[in-house]
Amino acid sequence: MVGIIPTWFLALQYTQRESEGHMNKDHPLLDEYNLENGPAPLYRISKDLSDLTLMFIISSVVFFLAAGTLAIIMRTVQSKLILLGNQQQTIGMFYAALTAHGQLMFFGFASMLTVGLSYYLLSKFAKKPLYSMKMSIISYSLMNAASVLLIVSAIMFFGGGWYNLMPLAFHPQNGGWNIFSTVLFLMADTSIGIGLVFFCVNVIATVLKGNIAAGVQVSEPDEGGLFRASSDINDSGRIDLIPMINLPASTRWVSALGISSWFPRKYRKAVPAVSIVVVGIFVNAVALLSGTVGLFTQLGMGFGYLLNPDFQPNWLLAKDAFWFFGHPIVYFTLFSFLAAAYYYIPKFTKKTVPYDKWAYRSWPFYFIFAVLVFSHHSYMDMPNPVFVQTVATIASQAVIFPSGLTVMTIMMYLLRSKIRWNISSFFIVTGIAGWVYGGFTGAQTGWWGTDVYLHNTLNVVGHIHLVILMGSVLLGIGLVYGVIADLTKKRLSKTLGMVHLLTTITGGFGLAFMFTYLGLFGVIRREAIIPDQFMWAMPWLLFFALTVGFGQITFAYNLFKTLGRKTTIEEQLFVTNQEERASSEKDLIHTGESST
Amino acid sequence: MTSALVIATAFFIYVVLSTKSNHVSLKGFDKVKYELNKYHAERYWGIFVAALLIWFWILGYPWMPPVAFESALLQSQNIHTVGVTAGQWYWMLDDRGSSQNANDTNVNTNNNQLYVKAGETVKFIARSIDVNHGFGVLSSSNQMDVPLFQMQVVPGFDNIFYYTFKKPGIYTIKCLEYCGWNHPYMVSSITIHAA
Repeated sequence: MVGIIPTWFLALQYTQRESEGHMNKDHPLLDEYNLENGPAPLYRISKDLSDLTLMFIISSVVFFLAAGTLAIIMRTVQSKLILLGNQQQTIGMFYAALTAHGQLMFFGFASMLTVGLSYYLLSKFAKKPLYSMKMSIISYSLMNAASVLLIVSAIMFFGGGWYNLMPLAFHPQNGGWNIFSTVLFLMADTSIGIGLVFFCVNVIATVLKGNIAAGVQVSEPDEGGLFRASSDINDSGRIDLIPMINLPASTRWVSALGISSWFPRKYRKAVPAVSIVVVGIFVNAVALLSGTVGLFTQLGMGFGYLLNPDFQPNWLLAKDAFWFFGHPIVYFTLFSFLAAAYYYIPKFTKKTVPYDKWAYRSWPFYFIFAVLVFSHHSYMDMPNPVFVQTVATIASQAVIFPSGLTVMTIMMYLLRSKIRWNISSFFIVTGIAGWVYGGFTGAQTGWWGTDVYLHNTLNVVGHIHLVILMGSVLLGIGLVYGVIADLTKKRLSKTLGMVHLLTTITGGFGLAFMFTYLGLFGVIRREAIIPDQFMWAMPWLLFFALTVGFGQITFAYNLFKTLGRKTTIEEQLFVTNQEERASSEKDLIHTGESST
Repeated sequence: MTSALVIATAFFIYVVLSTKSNHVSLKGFDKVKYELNKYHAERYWGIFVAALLIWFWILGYPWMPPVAFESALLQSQNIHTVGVTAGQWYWMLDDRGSSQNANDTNVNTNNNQLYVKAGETVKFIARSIDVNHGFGVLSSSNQMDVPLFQMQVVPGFDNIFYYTFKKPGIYTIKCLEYCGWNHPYMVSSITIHAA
C-alpha cells in the first residue's frame, strides 16, 4: 500500500497549486493549456503517422478494457461469486480468462501502445519520417487481428496458459478446449510475432538509413560556471535543437545503442549521440527482434507437433525459446517509455541538469541484459545447463545496475525542480515509482536461491503487476495524455484524468501489493480454487480490480468524448501559437509529409 | 523487502517535497546539481550499486540449487532415491531405496512402499508422461501450506532435486505449474518418518 501514499500526496500538491493560481497572467489560457498537456517536440510528423498513432492508442484502450474484463471474471470466480453451468465449466472459464488476459494485456494493450507510441516518438525525435508507413500499417493490422483471434479463442474456452507452456495446448483432456481454439491461439501468436518483426525492422531501418537528429551528450558550463545542456537555449527542449547531422554508417550503431556514452570525452565528440528517446526505442527494437527468433522456434515446434503427433520436440527448448522472446517483450514496453521519460520529465521540470552522459550510459546494459535474463523464468527446470542458470542469475541481478543509474538520473531531474504537476507528469512519475517497487520484488525472485520458494506463487504475479501495470502502463498512459494534445490539438478532461489517475493508482498498487504479500505467505498462483485460509483476500482483490477497471472506463470515456468533439477556442489559440512558434524556428523543423 | 519499499517511498516523498520548496532559488537548485556533478555523484552511485550486486551474488551463491545439492551430498552418507511420475492430474511416488552412490537410481524398483526418514537426503527423480507439471513440496505451519522447495517436471527429461527433510510429518505435494483445468486438484502427500 505504500505506493499509494506518494501519489495521493502529489495529487494534494497539485490541487493546492491550482488554488494558489500559478497561471501566467499574461496568457492565462495558453499557460493553462500547457499545464494540462505534455510538451511535444517541434518536428511535425506526417498526417498518416499521426492518424496511425491515434489508431494504435484507440486499439490498445479497447483491448485493455477487454483484458481488464477478463481479469474481473478471474477475481469473481476465485471469490466464488459466479458459477457457470457446473464447477468444471466455471474452472474452465477461469483458465480461459487467465490465458487471454495475459496475452491480451501484453500484446493487445501494452505492446500495441508501445509500438504505436514508438513510431510517433521515433519520428519526432529522430526528426525524420519512418522508413516505411506500409510496414507500420501491416504491423498494426497483424497485431489487431491477433488480439481478435485471442478473444475468439477465449470465447472457445482455450485455456493453455498465457505463456503457452507446450505441449499443454494440445492436451486439454477431459472435454477441455477444442483443438481448433488451439490453432486460433497459435495463429494469433504467429501474427503478433510477424507484426513485431515488421515493427523492429522498420525502427532499425529508420534509425540507420539516412540522416538523423543528434542528441545532447556534452554539458557545457554557462556564464555562471554552472553546467547546462547546450540544447536548452530558449527552453525549446533538451534534445531537439541540435541540427541534423550525418553520422557515418560505421558509428551509427555505436551511437544508436548508447555505447558512445562510455567513451572518453574527445571520442564522444567524434561519435555524437542521437536522441536518448531514439536510443531507447532502437535498443528495444534490436533486443525484441532477437527475441522473436525464440517465439518462432516455439511456434514451429508447436505446429510440428500439431501436424504430426509422433514428432516429439524438445519441450525444454520450446520453453526456453518462448522466454527468450517473453522477457524482451516485457522490457520492450517498459524501457521504451522510460526512454521517453528522459525527455518529458526535464520538459515538465523546465530545468537543465548536468547528467546527460549518464542518461545514455544505462542503455548498452539494458540491451545486453534484456537478451540474457530470459532463463530466470526457467530456474526450476533442473535439466537446464548450469551455466545458463548462472548467467541468468547474474544478468537478472545486473539489470539493477542500469536501472539504478536511470532512477538516480530521473530523481536528479526531479529533485528541487519546480515541476508542472499535471495528469501526464503524475502518471509518468508514479510509473517510475511503480517500476522501482517492481524492481525490488524482481530482484527477490530473480535469484535462483529464493526462486525455489517464490516461483509460481502470487509473489511473481505481484512483481508482474508492479512492473507492467504500475510501471510501464502508467508511463505509457502518461505519454498518451501528453501525445493526444499533439495529435489532435485537443486536450483530455482534467477532472476525468484525475479520477483515472487516483483509481488506477489505488486499485493498481492495492492489487499488486496484495499479490506480492500473499505470495510471500505461500499462496500459489493460477489456482481457480483458493484454499479457505486465503479466501479473505479474494473480495479485496476483486475490489482493487474493479477500482482499476472503473479508472480505465473513465479514461476510455474521456478519450472517445475528446476525439468526438470540436476544438475549443482555447485549443485553437494554442494551435495558432504553435504554428507561429514553428514558423519562427523553421530551420529546426522538418516535416515527414513527403515520405508517405 | 518491506524495508526497501519503505525507504524507497520515503525517498520519493522527499523528492516530491523538494519540488514544493518555493523558497529555493533557481541558483540554489542549480548549485545542488552542480555540486552533485562536481563530486561525481552518479559515478559513485554506479560503483555502489555494482558492489552491492556483487555482494548479494556472493551471499546467495550457496543457495543456488547445484551448489546446495553438492553440499547436501557431501554431508550425507546415504542418498534415498524417490521416483516421481506426474500426469494429468495425479502424482505417483515410488521408493527406489538408498545408496551411497548418487548416480545409482534403480536400487530397489520393486518396492513401491515409500519409507523416508527425517535427516535423509532424498533424491527426487521426476518424470512427466504428458505436459509440464510443477513438483512442489509444501510444509503446513499456522494453517498455511508454504512451499519448501519445487522443481518443474518437464516431459522427456529426468528432473532431479535433492532435499533433506529435517522434521518428520506429512508434507503436501502440489502441482505448482498450471497443467490444465483440473490443475488445482493435483495434490498428494509424502510422509516423513522419525529417524
